[in-house]
Amino acid sequence: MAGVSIPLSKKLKRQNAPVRPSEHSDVAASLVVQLVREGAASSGGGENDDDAAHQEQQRTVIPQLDVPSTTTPEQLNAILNQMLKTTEEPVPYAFQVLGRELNGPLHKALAEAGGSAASAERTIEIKYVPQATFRVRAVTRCTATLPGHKDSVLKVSFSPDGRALCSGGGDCVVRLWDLSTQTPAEALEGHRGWVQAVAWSPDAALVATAGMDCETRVWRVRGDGATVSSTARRRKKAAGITAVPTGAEGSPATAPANEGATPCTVLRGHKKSVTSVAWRPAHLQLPARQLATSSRDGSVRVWDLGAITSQRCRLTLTMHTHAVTCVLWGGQDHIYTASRDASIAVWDAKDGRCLARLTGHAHWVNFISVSTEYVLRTAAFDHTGKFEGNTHPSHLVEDSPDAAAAMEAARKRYDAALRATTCKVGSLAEAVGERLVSASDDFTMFLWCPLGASRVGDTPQVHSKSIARMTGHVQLVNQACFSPDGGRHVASASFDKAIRLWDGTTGTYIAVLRGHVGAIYQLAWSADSRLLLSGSKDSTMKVWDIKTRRLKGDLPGHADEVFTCDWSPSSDRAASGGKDKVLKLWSF
Amino acid sequence: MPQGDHIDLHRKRYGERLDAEETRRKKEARSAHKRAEYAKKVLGIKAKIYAKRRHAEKVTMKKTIAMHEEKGKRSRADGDKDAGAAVPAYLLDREEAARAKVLSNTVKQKRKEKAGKWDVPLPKVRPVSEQEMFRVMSSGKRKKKAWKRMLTKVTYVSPTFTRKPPKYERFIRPTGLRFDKANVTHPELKATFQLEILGVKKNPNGSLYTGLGVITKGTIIEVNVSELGLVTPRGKVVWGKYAQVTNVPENEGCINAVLLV
Repeated sequence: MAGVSIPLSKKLKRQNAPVRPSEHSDVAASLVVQLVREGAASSGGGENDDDAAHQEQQRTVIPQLDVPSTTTPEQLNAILNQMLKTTEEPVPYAFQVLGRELNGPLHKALAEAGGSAASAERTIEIKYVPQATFRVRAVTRCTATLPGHKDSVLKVSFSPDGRALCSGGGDCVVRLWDLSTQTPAEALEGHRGWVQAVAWSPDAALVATAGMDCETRVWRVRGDGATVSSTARRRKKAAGITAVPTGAEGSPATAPANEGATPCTVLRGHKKSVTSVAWRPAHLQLPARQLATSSRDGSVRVWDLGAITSQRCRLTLTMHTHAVTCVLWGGQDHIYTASRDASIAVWDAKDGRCLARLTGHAHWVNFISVSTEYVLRTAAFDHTGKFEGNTHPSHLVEDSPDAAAAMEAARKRYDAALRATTCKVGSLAEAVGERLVSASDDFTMFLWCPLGASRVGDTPQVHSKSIARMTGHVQLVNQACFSPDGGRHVASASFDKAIRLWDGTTGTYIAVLRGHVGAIYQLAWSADSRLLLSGSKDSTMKVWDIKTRRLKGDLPGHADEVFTCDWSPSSDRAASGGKDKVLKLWSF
Repeated sequence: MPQGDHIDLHRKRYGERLDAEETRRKKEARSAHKRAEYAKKVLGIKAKIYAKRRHAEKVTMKKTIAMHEEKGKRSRADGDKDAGAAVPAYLLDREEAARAKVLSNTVKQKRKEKAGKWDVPLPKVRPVSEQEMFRVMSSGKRKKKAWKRMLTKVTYVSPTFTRKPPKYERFIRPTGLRFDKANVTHPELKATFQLEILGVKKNPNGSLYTGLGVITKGTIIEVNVSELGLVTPRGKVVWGKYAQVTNVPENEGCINAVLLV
């Protein structure tokens, strides 16, 4: 046998008091295991260090190991870190045996998954998945209750660096909040209908808001959440903060007469209310200038803020025959749209060509999420909201070397996320590409990989067939989100009061998280993919532990339905808003 | 060939008597009295049949009136769909089931409870005397004992109640007057639900009646509101809630109550 025995350290032995496995099950006392990396893509053109290190890890062949059957995941982790020797810092790994998460000693997991198959003669394949090296602490308490909105709070959103918070409400006002002092920073007035969509540009400089009044407004925001409107400018000047012109970034010539007249850029064109807004990812363009808006009139418009007013609407994508509920701008310059006509469309963002139309749903599609969503949102910022560069992204000037550096940083993060997982689609066994999950009113979800390539950098093929149909919910599914680690998990929120957890690459069902007593409206993942936050109609939010699949904490406090919740990308707090008109900040 | 045509024919040819219109009006005006007289007089199965038919007529009439009233109203234009509480985009165009507010005032309610005071929709009730509440029943071989009482009001008897031996039973709660459901109105939702009664919390006429489960006007009853989907601020489903009876159940044959929120 080619197995190599690795003596466990005394400490590790002590951690797990020896249990005689033979007493509990028929699994042999010693097992031969083979550790295999779970579905990561082989990289295409690996030039930089990161790729090289990645490839190195790929190439490392781990010999078969002889381990006692009482081995725990912690012990396997220690072994694996010792064998891979990739970094000084030990990387936490999660293990899967026969398709199940390994949570206890090996023999128990084997017994659960049909223990008779395991014996000393057979090699057991254990898949390992690297986890985030940082840990996000679960939010446990409400640190601030901020009144201000005169009507329900419909959307809260943290900036990509987690330093600012923006909320839109039914009172037609967009509000910015100062997170360091937990006080209101500014109220941006101008909308004439409920503000239902709030989206930060990936450089944290602009925030786009839209809603029932059919217009999209783009506000220029600086640093810790102050806009530069005409009135605010005077105030901020007194406080010693310099102002910048409003309007389109990097084009002072086309910026609207910035001395006070226009506090923001207004994008008009939709015939009905705007449902969602998506910015062009940072690795394609910095500073952010382009955004897409979806509307209930069935069209999607792509706007270029750099153009003159009459040409701002660069493209109008019309094919959907019913309201468009959700728009996403993918990392490969594709626009994904979901509509109430039960279809999903993939568009080329350059010329507005429809590349694929994904059908299969039998009712409205409520929400779509893309597997790289978290990195597209945070772009060049890391999990603490820091940015390694000379100029903060929100101060970048077009075509400057700093902008190029920031774009490169964003691309690196995006590529890493894209490469983290592969899926089986069509004839490709290990396709690399953004996956989509769509949540629908027909109680099901679909997992798609509309544009998958065999290697990173290859021209993708169009796959209009889904990877999997995910059934299990007994009420409409309102939201489905990929986990931030490149989409290894999908969590879905349904009106049947349950959250379901799915494998993000194959679409197989993992677990159901029950605890809410009302319909679940929104979900938010923590940056390390270990925790999940859910906001519900029953007025509470709950934090769930993904590994144990248990309720981690209950966050009561709202007096009415929680419409929206968000977990800061810098991981230090969460925010929520709802029908009781207050915005709540949560921390640990 | 129908036989009644000749009257019509005659009218068409020669017209009516001059006072025909007046007679018809009078007859019509008298008809209500006639009907009432008959309703009072009629007995037995005929009474039942008559009452049922009359009830059906009244229902149709009310529906017709309601429909006519609806005709005059202007329907809400499409433009002011915004009216009402703001909802996020994902809840637009969805029919919201009548839902209940979260009970944010539980603390307040507890404080009130402590003070022993109820801030209820009906703060004062007519006192009910013992004579009215009970009927004395004579018992014993010679029917000369008079310690048995039969309740004349509506009662709630819990499903787990077991009778004492009838010989020693002091209070008799007639099965015909037992109720286990109440029509409860949520004052904020302006919606009425038929809910199960869980118990009688307080009868304003005295603790004896509370103990017996007597339901008169103004009584506080506990009802099962689990199907209303009420939740506490901590996100737990509220099961039982109090409601006050607003009608005279023994007269009307049903219990109407208003939820105390």
